Amino acid sequence: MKLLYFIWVIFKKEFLVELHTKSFIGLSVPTSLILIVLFSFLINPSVAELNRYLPGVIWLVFSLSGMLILTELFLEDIKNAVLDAILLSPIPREGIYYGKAIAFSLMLLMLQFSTLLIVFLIFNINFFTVGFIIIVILSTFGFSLLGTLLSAMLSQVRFRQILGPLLFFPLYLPIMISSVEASLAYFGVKPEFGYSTWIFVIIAYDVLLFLLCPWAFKYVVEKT
Amino acid sequence: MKEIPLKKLVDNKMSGILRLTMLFILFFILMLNLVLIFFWVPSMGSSSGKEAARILYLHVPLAWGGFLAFFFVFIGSILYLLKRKISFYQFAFSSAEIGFFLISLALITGMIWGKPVWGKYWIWEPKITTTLILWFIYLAYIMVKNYTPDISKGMIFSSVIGILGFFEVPIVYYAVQIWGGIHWNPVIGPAAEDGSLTGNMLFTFIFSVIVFTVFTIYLVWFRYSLENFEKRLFLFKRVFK
Repeated sequence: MKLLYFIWVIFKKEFLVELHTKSFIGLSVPTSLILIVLFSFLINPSVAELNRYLPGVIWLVFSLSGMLILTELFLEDIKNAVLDAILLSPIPREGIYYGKAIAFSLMLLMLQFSTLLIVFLIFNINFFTVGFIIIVILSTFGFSLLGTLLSAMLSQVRFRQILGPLLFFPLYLPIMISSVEASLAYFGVKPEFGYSTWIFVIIAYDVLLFLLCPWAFKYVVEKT
Repeated sequence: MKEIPLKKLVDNKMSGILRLTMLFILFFILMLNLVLIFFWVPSMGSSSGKEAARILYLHVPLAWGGFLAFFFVFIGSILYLLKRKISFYQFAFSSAEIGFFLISLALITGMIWGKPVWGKYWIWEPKITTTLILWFIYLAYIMVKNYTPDISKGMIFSSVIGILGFFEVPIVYYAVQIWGGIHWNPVIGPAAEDGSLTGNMLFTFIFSVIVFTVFTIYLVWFRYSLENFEKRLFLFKRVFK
């Protein structure tokens, strides 16, 4: 129970900071907007092409703008020595990790839904259906679990803007592929592969990250 | 400063001799393997890729050697994080380099094979794409160590990548079962079909796999002793500065 309280404390701190500065959402939503505009402007897709490619493009846009938040997530804390203070406090490492990850996934969900809203307004394709929202939530959860760990890592690395995507995307790809395939199956573009199989793959990978990442996080933030 | 025992600075002569003997034996076995592949085993498959299919006996064992090396990375990384002994990390890092090298060779041999059979060097097919992702993961493993200013932090970071990255290996192995595609089914391991290779072909294939297993272990060992050498040189410099 105590761990839940600690998670709540960290989550509240992250959420309040974001509420005051609005830096992550304020930056990533316009980024996803401009990426979508570029896609439609450069590719100029027909309706049939849109149905085929839009799920993939949405995940690409979402991941690229999520990457922006990811590389910066721990930097503000390090700059103001907040992270040191949190590490010195009696909060266990798992509490820090889960609190950050939940706050991060909430930010990402906001980003996702605004991206989907933009897509709805621009392309007139409605993605707000239960089956698709389930995919979005599950894959976002995986994104934030892996992202929080890698963000803690990237904050201590040189050339983090370049190294970030190189580290993150290969490890995130199983979820990304499954999400795209699941959405293609859901919208009937590739029904032969099955929606539930892909959902199961995402859940399995999420569970793996959920158990493995806090364990690794302990080592990543330790002082040497 | 901590006293460094002199024994740690001196190379173990026996291990050098053993390594050299191993190298000679391995050289002959590898040559024998090549003779088996190119002169002994009958050609197979369709007419377009009849002779090209011989590369199977190199391509699959190379990939297998890569997977084995990545398994070593996984084990070495876990042990390093738990026990914090630098030799575990050296073992993991040496294996990662060797695995990266072997997977690169597997990709290249695959491309050479692909040209006569599929008409182009690279096709976007599940097994090949997932292998490329695996290649990227271990590239990141090596890079994250080199781009972290704090050396001990870099070791921890790359160990974490080594552990997370290993879960990609089963995805590569089962890629054909999961997504289909035009790549061959596995001919080795739990997902292999019975009777996909028979007679001389099976013998050559198993022989090649064994040779490359030994080759991988030898390379990891060699790279590991090089790491050790580096460490000794570092200590040497510190003592006789």
